[in-house]
Amino acid sequence: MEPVLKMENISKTFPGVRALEKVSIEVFPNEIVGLVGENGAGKSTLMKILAGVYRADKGEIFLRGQKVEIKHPNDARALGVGMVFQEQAVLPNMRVYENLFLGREKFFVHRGTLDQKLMMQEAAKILEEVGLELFPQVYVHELNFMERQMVEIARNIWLARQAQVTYPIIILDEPTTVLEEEEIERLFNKLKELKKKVSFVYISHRLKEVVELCDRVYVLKDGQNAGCFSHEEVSEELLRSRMVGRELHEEYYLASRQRKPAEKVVLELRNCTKKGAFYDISFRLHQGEILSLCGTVGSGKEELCRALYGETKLDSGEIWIDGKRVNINSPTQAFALGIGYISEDRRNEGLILHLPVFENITLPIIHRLVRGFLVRREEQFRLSQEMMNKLQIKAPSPSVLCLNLSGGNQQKVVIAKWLLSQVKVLIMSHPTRGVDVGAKHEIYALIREMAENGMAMIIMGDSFEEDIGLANRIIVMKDGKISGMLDATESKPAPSDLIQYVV
Amino acid sequence: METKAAVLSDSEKTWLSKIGANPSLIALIVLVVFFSFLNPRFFTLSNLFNILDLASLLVITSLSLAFILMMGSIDLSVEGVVGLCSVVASLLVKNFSNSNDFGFLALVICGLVGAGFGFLNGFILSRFKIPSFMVTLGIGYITTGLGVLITRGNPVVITDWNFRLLSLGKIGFLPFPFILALGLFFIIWFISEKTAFGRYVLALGGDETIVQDLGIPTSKIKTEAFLIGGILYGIVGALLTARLGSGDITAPLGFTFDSIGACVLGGIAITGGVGNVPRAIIGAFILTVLRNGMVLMGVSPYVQQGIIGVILIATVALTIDRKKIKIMK
Repeated sequence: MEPVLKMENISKTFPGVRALEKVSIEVFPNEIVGLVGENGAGKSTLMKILAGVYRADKGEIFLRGQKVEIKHPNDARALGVGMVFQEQAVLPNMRVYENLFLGREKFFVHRGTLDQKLMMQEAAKILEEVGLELFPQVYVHELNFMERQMVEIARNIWLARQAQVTYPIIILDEPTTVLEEEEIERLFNKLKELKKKVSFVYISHRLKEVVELCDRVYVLKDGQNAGCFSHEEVSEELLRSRMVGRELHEEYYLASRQRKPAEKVVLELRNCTKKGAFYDISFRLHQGEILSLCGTVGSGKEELCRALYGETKLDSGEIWIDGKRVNINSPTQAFALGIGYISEDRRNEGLILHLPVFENITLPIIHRLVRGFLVRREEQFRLSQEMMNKLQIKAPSPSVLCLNLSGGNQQKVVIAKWLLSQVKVLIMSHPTRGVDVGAKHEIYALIREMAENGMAMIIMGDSFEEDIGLANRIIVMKDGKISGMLDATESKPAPSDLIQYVV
Repeated sequence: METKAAVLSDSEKTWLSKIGANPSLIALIVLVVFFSFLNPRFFTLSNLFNILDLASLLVITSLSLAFILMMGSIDLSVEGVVGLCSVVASLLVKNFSNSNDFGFLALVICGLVGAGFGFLNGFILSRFKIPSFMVTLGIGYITTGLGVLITRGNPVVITDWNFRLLSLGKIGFLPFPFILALGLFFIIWFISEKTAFGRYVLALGGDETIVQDLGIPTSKIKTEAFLIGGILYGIVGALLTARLGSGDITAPLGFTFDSIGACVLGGIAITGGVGNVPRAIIGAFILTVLRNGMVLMGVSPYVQQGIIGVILIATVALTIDRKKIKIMK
């Protein structure tokens, strides 16, 4: 049997990152193909190339035996390929039938006006096909998440039919992260029904679901194929083992400089909950301790950090700093309490790019450098120069605009800023993202030094290896709850030990 | 499984629920009852026709704002464009300042002038990505300035009595402007509900990114929406001149506030994506009835404005979609 889709040797590079390298997959008619891999393994990139959002640097795509060029999402749609993203693409303020045919009204236009009766009839037909029991004139805002997804799937099926494609393909990107158990059951039943007419590519972190639903599963690792398994052979352990397994160069993370953290507890969380994000989180952070927070998208780790930094509020639970109960209602308060936060989006949230280095570094403590009404510029300069020397920030002088520094140096400026302000707890989100290998190593050294000086840190790293390499302790979160706590001071766990808690 | 045959029941729905038997309609009815009790002169035939007449111009400008607000934009150029077109009309028909005598053709020309500025609004908005707030404010100032420039600040008195029939004439008992407003209402309502363009306008107010991603030409739609608005303003300008007997650039003072207010009171969200054309009309009548009622009660104009202001803030607070605007500036 001929495959409906064949992606052959697809390669794609983004500045500084090789996202995909010679990846090949096939999709046959009437099947559900799973696509799994770590964050950054390349799943989304591969599918976005198929959906026309990105273009591959190398490689070819064949649809139904014919070589095709997909330059734009409209090309993909015309070829019968649809994508249902996590962020929904339906308009809540309009009716179901209007959403179904949005952009393709010309099929229903009769002398300049829309034939809404016809639209509703067509809509009723397709809704019946996907098993949605709805009136077509219902407003989308009245539908729940799963129903909205099915409307999107229905739209894609209809579009493919308009393009007169016999074997449409629909890509589902993390369709179940916000669904309840029973809704997932229903979705799976519908998908199994629909696969008689449509082939699905199912991207998910939830290995249990992938194993249950998919006819075949592809694993991607570091932008390359790492195996393809049939429904009979596949299992969660098999997938996990294929998803990770790089070599861990211990000294890259300067593990030898790892210290046992002090006894003093600087930060404690008790039963912290935020509805829809994380539930019942409790742990203690000690002085000089490096804690890695692991988890996939949807695990709640980012939301937890945002709540700790005061960007969002907890629904319930207690936070204790230095033995005193506190409420953190804003970043200003968090900073006053000694908590700092390095965002992964350093260009927009970490630095003021158009300001020079010395302004950025001294920004949080400017009020300490004031004499009378005036800021002491020489002090700003002096302190910045000190930091620049200490952290080896490569720039001619502290007056250089941060805009002009390299990614690694920019990140060092951000770290310098927090170092200077002497926070007690520093939360770092992907501190080495977009930074070259050499600079990464320097930043790891910095992290070690800060720990030696007593700063406690919560780090969300770019990879399991980074999380494991840096940490004294690792907390894994899954679906909003803590699924595992591992010690990494005495001996380092292997990534495969970690992954069973993650997915 | 039988297909939901109720698909066709939409046409069986009562006209009441089609408009959306909504709080605004009820509010309007309550107001009418309220004022009728307070003042016997309110519910007389002559006063009711008076209300229809008074509401006409507001109805037409509200039609434009309805479209634009549903799209998620705003139009602050109403007064300017209406004023300029009013001045232009006065200079085109028989008047004391020049020897033109275009008669009813002036109405058409006003529509074109309005269309031109409407087009500018939409074009600058979509091409240069300047927020509609800014663009229309600027165009409003420009048009007012042009109006002052042309007349050197003095109203232009017209002598064309036939032209004045546009606003002063009646067909049967109904004031002509009302009939015109009614006609325009049906046209705009039709466009909004029955054309793809009308549906796109509402979709844009819902989520512009989604609409764009589907390949729908959003710039074109925005430009067309403002263009239609401009034509409506031009017509109102001509009607205003006909009513007052002169072209006065300051005559439309308050039109912008009233038109936006009418839409909001009728239930069109200022954040976009919610509402329909009939709601704007209900809102226009609510505002007109409020004013008329308060006048009959002898309420001072300053207090009237204050009361209307309070009602507006309350309505916006109740209908605004806070999820769309995370930071209130």
